Amino acid sequence: MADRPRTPGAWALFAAVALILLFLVGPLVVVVVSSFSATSSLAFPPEGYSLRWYEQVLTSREWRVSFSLSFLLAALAVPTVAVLSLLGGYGLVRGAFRGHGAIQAFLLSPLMVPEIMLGIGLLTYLQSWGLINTITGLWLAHSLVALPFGLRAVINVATSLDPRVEASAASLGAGPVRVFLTVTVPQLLPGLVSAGVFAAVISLGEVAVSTFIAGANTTTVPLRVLSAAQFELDPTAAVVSTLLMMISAVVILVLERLLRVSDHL
Amino acid sequence: MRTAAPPRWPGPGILVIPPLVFVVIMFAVPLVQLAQLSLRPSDAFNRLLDGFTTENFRRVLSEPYFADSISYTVVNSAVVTLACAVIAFPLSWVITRTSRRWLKVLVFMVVISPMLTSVVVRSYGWRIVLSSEGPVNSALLGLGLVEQPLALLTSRAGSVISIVHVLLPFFVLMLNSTLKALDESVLRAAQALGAGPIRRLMQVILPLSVPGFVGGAIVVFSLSMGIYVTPLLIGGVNQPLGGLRVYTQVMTSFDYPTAAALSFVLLAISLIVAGLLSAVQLVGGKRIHG
Repeated sequence: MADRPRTPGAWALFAAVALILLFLVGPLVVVVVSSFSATSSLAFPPEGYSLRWYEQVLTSREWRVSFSLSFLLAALAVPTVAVLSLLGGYGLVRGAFRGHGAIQAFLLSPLMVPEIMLGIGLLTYLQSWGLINTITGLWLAHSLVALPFGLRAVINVATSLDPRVEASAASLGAGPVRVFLTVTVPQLLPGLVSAGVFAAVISLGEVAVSTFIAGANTTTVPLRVLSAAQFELDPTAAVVSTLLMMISAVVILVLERLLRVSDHL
Repeated sequence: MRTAAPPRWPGPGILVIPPLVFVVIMFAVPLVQLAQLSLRPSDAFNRLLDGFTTENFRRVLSEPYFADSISYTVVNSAVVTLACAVIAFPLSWVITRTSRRWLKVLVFMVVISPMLTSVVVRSYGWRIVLSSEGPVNSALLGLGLVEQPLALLTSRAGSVISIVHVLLPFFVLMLNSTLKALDESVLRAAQALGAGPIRRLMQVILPLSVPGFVGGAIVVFSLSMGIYVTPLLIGGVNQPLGGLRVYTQVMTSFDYPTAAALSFVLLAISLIVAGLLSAVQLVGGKRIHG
């Protein structure tokens, strides 16, 4: 149907899709345009254009501290989620053990629990460990939120692996660890990279849980955007939002070229 | 002499242990502790006392401040889920069925772009779009349709629209996996037997897509039952949404046990709805295949 846009039904489908894409992209475009505003008002369209809010953000110590913290957290969450997803995803697909389905559902279940619940659950839990307002606490929480996405990505790729490739490597004398590291892992690379991307993107954008467990010394970039968007009515939040979107866009475009992620998700 | 003994390798199953331990420590244990907390009494200053009580649940289910927010949240989540279902289908169809690579990639990228953008950024965008000086009000004023800017930010519609925007990608991803597996020959057979496009859609495509719709509805409904960041930025903290009530109890009243009880009620409702939706799928599946 989508391939013959000459029928009325196909035209209706195309029109509907175009409208929905506008709905999805519109607010993001509005943020980008607002970030170049010349005035401190958020009236749209802006009355003039300038880079003054970019200058303000890039020269602000507070924002620089938040950006270093957010990048550090992403750098910690990416390998954590990638390794846990690799082990879990491959183990679930290839492992033969009791309660297989239940374990998979359990590992994916943080996705199904309301975000507010994860937030207050981790608040009281990490309090008892003294991990509120620490990088460790945020690192663990971001890894937990991203893990179900990473697992799904690895499971999708692992399901399509041909077990005969590993079997022949083993029959040629490679030990199990060597088979895993030199035959299995390279084949799982697309899933592994997707898991890493999810971890980076989620860690750089997480607020729902972070709000509860961060503190004055651990204000990540999205938390600072949240408070700026709530209480300050100038376009600095739009500038930082634009910078965050650019990071995501670059990551996803590079991956699409390298790995065609749109086929794997 | 070396024997060809199988390598000492208990099988790939043991690889599951590290992530399993991680999720138990970081997810299961905190939730169990939260459940215990929801059953703890507290004094007038919200200090925790020893003992056991169901008072927190009684309060949450009977005091209008909480009870009304629960029904409001259920209606909200149902509307959000329905809207996502309607909007997700054409997107999923194009992503999974088109042979034009550029179109597939374009739609896919745009659909998951909200997922790759912080929820704060997306909500902030809607905040500008719906504000009294925003593009929607400018257009309405310019066209002379309204005299005064509309208070879209605090309207229920504003809140629903922005939540749909945030959760739509989840629905599309769930629907994609079903539509990808839809057999092209079934559609050709329906066409050969004389079914027009509308009939093919209503009687072949949609019934076969039920698992994707059910999966998407379960995820979106569950997520919207506890959502709070987006409505916090769009309509403000005083909307009667369950997630916001929990947030207020923790951040303003420091009343953790009541917050915990309310969050378990929200979770219970989403689990019940997930169960009902799965039952619908089972019954529907029997009607199609049986």
